Amino acid sequence: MTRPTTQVRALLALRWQMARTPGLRLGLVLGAVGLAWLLQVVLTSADALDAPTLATAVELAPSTFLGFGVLAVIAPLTAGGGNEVVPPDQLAPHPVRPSTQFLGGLVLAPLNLVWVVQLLALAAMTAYLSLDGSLWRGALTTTLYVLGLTVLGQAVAWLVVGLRQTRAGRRTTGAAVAVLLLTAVVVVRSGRGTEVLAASPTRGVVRAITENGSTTWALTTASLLGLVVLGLLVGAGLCGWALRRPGDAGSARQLEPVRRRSSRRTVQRELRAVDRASVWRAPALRRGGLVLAVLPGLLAAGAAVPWESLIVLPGLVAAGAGLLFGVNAFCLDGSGALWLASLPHDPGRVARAKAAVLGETVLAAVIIAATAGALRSPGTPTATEVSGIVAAGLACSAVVVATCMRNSVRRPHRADLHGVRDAVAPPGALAFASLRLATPTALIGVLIASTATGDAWWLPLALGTAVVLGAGLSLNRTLRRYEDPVVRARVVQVVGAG
Amino acid sequence: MEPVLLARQLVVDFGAVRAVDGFDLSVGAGKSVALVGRNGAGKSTTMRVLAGVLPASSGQVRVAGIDAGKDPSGVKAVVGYCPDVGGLIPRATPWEHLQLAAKLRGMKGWQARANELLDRFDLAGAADRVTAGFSHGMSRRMSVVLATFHEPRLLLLDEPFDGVDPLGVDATLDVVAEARATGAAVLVSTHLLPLAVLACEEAVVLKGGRVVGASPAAELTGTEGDSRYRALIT
Repeated sequence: MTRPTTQVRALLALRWQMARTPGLRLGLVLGAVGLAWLLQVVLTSADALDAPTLATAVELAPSTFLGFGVLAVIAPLTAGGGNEVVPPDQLAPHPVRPSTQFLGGLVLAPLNLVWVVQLLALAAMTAYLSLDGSLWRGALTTTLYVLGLTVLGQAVAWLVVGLRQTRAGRRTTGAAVAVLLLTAVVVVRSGRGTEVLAASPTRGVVRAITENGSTTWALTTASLLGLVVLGLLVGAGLCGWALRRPGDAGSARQLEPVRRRSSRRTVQRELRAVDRASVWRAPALRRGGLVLAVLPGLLAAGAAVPWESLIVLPGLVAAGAGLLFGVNAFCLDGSGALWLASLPHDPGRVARAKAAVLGETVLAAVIIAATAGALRSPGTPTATEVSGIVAAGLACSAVVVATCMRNSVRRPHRADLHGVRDAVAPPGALAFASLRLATPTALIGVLIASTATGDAWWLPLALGTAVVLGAGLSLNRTLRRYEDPVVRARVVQVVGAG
Repeated sequence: MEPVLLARQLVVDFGAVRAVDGFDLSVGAGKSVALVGRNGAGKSTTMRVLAGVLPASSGQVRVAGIDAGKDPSGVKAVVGYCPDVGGLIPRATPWEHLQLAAKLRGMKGWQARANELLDRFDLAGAADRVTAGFSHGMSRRMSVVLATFHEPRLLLLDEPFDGVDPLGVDATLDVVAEARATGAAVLVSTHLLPLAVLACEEAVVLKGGRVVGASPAAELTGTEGDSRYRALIT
């Protein structure tokens, strides 16, 4: 059998060939070039900062490094072990090594907007921390930290995937998550959050970058290198173990009968009920939905985010919720799309039902996250801040629904979503979709936050209403487009027959 | 009297590729026709056009006197379609499929018919399980149930026997016979010629999106029939 690196190269080449649209290929190349340029700009940005700003930035360095570490573990956990270069069912006849899947996931880790943003933040921190030493020595340590934590995150994710193959394992991991969450709550409630952060192991990494060239730096960098090597070996082993383990989870759940529901009163409600069930019965969507709804709120609560900053939270959560299934909403029907299209109905109803279920999913995630975040925001909010949070929630949700539906009609993909590791679209398409969702929602969040500072409580609401109206018009155009038989047939053929 | 299915000069282009090239077919009430041919001959594409899933680039389809170009919903109301791949919403149960079909077709008192069909196709025990956990054969049987549920005037079955056990095949053949007895027209696309002969009286051979031969289905079996069929498709 060929080596894992050879297999990964072959799979990446296949995936590259499968990107049929020239725009996607160009976008990927421009994205890589853009990231390299941004890294260069960020790494040389330290000279532009004044001393007090620099001091504040350096103070935040351990938390920034810790934030990356948390993301590096959570991202592959939500993806059930990391992204796949090619879905496993398409590789079933080929002798693909587990370590190939592990390495493939690592290669695709940068196709995650949050990962890229955090990488840029770490690059900036490295530049600030290395002002008195060698930037390249500091960058070496940071690079190894990024690699080490990404490898470690994937290894942990595969361990969890393997453990969750059995009932006992699922109970153990569930209990572990509960203990972790409980500990976090207790630490935050007892006011020891800062103390715990101060003891974070990332302080050692930050010190090593600051004192680069010293023995501390050499030892820390060597340890990180060891972590990368060890992580690669252990991670590949864990991946193989998890994939070999006979599971009783996914298929068993599919064999259990579900409660029979009564027929809905209208066609629209019936379609919505089917779509809603399609979301919550998909293991990958259920898990992703819970993480998206609960985690940002918990983080916001843990950090006791001020009310004025809470206004940008709905945008981040809405963009993430859209990625759950919204960017390829018609994939919920799977091959049933062909049968559904043969039934006598107004085709716009199918699209409207998907938009409605997407809208309620996004809004639910936003409400849960904003409510959880608001629980620990200091002081009492002003009327303008409350209207800002409400306006941002509604505006960002509307923009996400409109963008997702446009994407679903223009760029459909076949996605069965049978397993916990299945994604609604290929990794590259998802990366672009995340950019398309995160950019407008972040801008809207910042814009509404900027209007929520005075006494004019109506101003954020007026701005939010204008955005909602614009999104409504865009959604309406998309729904009309879907009513074109040629456009609709293309969507149905792709999601239904691949 | 106008046939139940009348297709004239159907053409389907996918960009530069012509999948169906001037397809003509007429199937009368109570008749059944097998659509046979090699992979990529245009059988499934033709079935999708007849089911109203895919618009034809040109040509005309009339079902039970209704012009598909002018009244696509009217045609869909009288057509029952079993697609070649899956054809089921993965995380909906058979009962939910039937519930949705009944709602979209405006059917009243459908539960008895649904239970009878599920029983007949040995799916009653799986009526409340999501179809993602179904075997290939179970999915095929369920697709046939959905196609015949509303007793359509035109029954379109695309590869209904693929991977189906003998009891499932019998149930499908019974459904075809019943449809014909009630005056419906049936079109069955399949690679399994012996079953095509059991289900249909006539066979139409497709090659490159065109009808290249038509004969009584029985004439395509046996050594001589097999040689004739192979000559037509190569």
